[in-house]
Amino acid sequence: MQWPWKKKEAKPSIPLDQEGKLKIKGMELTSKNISGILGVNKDVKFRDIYINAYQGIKTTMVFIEGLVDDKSISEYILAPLVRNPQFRETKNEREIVQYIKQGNIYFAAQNMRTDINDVILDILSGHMALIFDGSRVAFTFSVQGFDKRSITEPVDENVMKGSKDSFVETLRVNTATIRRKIKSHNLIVDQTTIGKQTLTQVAIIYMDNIANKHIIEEIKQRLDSIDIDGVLAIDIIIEYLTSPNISAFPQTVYTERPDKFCANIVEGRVGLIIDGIAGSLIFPATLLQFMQAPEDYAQNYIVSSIIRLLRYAMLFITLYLPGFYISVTTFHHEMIPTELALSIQNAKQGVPFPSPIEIIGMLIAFEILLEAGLRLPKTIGQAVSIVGALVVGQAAAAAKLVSPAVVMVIAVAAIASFTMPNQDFSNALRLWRFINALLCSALGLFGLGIGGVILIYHLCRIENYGVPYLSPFVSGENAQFQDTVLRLPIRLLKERPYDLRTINSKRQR
Amino acid sequence: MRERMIFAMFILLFVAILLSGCHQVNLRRTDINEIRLFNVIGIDKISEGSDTVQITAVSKETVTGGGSSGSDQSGGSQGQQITFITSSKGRTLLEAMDYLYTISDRTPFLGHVEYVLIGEEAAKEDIVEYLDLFFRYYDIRLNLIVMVVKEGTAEQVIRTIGKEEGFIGDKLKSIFKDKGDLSISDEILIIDVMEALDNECASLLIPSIYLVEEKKQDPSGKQGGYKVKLDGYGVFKGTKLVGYIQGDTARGLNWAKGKVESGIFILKDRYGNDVTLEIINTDSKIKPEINDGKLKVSIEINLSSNIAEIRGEQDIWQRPIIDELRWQQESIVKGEVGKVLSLAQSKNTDIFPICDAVWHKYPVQWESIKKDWDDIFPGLDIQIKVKSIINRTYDIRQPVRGNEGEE
Repeated sequence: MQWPWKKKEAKPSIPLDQEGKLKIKGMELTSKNISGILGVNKDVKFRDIYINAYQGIKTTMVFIEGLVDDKSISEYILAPLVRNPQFRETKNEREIVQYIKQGNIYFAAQNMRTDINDVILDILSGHMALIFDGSRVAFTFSVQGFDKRSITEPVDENVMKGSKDSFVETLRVNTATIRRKIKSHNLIVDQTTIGKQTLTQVAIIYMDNIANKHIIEEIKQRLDSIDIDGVLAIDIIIEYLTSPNISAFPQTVYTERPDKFCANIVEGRVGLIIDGIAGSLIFPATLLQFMQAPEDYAQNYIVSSIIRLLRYAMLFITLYLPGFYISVTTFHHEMIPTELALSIQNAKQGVPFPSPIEIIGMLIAFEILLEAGLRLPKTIGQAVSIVGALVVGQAAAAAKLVSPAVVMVIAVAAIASFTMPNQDFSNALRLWRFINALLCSALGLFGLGIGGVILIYHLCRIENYGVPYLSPFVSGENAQFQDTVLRLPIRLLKERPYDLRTINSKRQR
Repeated sequence: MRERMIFAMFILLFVAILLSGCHQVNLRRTDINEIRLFNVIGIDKISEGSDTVQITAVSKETVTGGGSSGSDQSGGSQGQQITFITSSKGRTLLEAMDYLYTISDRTPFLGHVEYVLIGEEAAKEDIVEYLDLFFRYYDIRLNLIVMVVKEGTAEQVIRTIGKEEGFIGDKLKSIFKDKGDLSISDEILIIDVMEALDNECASLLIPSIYLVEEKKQDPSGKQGGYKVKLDGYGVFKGTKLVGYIQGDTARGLNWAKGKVESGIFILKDRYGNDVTLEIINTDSKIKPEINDGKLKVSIEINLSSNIAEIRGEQDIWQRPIIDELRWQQESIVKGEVGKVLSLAQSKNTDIFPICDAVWHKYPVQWESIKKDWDDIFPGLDIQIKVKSIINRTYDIRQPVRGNEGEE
């Protein structure tokens, strides 16, 4: 996707890029102009500070209440400004600017700005600005002090062993967490702003010496091409960053675990952290990643391998069990062992509906219960599960609306879907379970076969940033199966995923 | 674009299958509670008008108790198991089957048939006539077990057992599971029957069952009862039943075929006491040999047994005594095999089949003697060689009486 009006020269890496997003043209950097833009707001505070009252040298302090830490403003910025004899004895503004530039205000994170756009953006992001009208210069100090959530245990992705921290809503805290885990100077935290109104900061994180440059460039390009009002939900970014295709399967890994994020970054993938969202995105995603749980690498490899095998078995059970049940009970009676057939037959006595209706009806009932339980407040949610268990499980069977065997099949398929480590992936499987059940109710095992072929065809079609979704299962001669269905010992995982085309493919000697 | 095509394919598929108007599409869909899973089928020859064949089908069913006493809904344990027996007649097997379909309250389903019983009359006439449907019909499994009813009809066996002991399928299952304890018969699948019938020289064997009357007096006044017994084989010449081999003779055949799984020998030791040996391991080989254009066959049997029961008080765990026992069991085996050999040669039925062994070892010579096999077999020089070993006496070596304290 090349947008002709987006073509532009290379931009500086760290300063925020506001071209096309915040542009106030032809305004000089004065406190009056800034007051004209921001002065309407009651939470923006302007204050004139006279540094040398005799000479009439003053500066204007601008900040937004609630976003800044008052104590650090007064202790580290105002105090030296007013008390330092050097400042008091200066004759003109230019000297003061020079002194501040040289570091006489001992605050670490300060920037000198000459563009009004930069200053306004800084103020809005929680900086404090000192504006010198005479020199058309402003200093912004990063004194953000707003309330932020502290790092807590991950809610959705729990592990027994391993780190217990999670991402929070604040971008800086998240990047700091990553820096704490990866101390290499090759870790690059690039940053850009998305959203015409929200001006949300998005950090692109990758290893400079590992990650594929083409993928990084492509991601940056796609990020720049996003032209929307706000980034308040994660899917806005995801949909712009993945290839447009009709697929229910997740195209990117969303994780709230910094350790998982860092493992992927070190593997050569590119990560994205969005300010205001307590999670991260990893590109490009492959199906394999949704079948791996962080615990696989915290456990003994034999145990992990067996659990992973079980997980793959569960994948097929949750996809195909309802369809298979429909097939064997309505088309292929000879496939069931005689005793089991008799017991299914016995259980189904008196049930008025044919098996396909039973299965599909119960699947819908289960989805409704799941959705109802998800949206309700926690206290009522329990009531839903009780009602669900009673209605779907016992009462329906007792009232002869469904046979107990069907309840079992649905329960097994549901529990199998809960073993999937990723919820998005599990949701996609839920959809395909329906498709399979419908195909099977029309065509039996032949339908199951058709469903399987269509699913595999569909998955084979997906690729993100040149990486096939089914990699490494479809990677041909370069396939690396050490860490797929089984998890071999770490010392055998010598190379990074081939399909990422990393700069340095060797992981270890 | 492709994705859109798949989507369109989906929609077309569903439109084609589900929304095809008022005309009802027959998807051949039958729900499992609308079918009757027959487990045993009996085939008999009859002659009533134009009808020549009668089939008797048996299924096991669970009848849920009446709705009034539905207080405890937990589990299906209150369901009562009944045996459902139905018969129908027709000019051919399929016609009889179709009559069965029309009179039944559920669709009969033959995919779960495990046992086929063939009445003696039908077997004597021509077994292929009655089994051809089973060879070719799509519902039928090829691993179902075929049996011949000796001195009776299949319906008789099915109805008698159904009345007295319940479901005949369970009975047959247990009989065939324990066939190795006496090793006087074996299970023959329908695919084995097809194979044997296709074989030019070998004869077909089908296990035979019959009803035995139990002489017992019940307190309730019910007099005796019938049990079904599996014993030996029905021997076919071509496609017709010509006779039976039973008991020791049938075990002789199993020795020669290496099909003996277990069994016992009751021998006398030199003190005149009974010693019972349990057969542990057997193996046999039919070795044809052509010397100077003359075919000779030797049947080599190896077996090992353990001493399971001793009635005397003497210590028999000594080399000479054990050797005597060994010779005795070898001669028993030799006798049993000899009996079946002479029977087979007198009836000219190669039931072993020796011709296969010859063909495998001498494929070139076989081509020249193949057509004369019927003439060669009755006079064939067949030697029986038995080697045996007695391994152990299980937990104790000597009888507990007598030799106190000695191990």
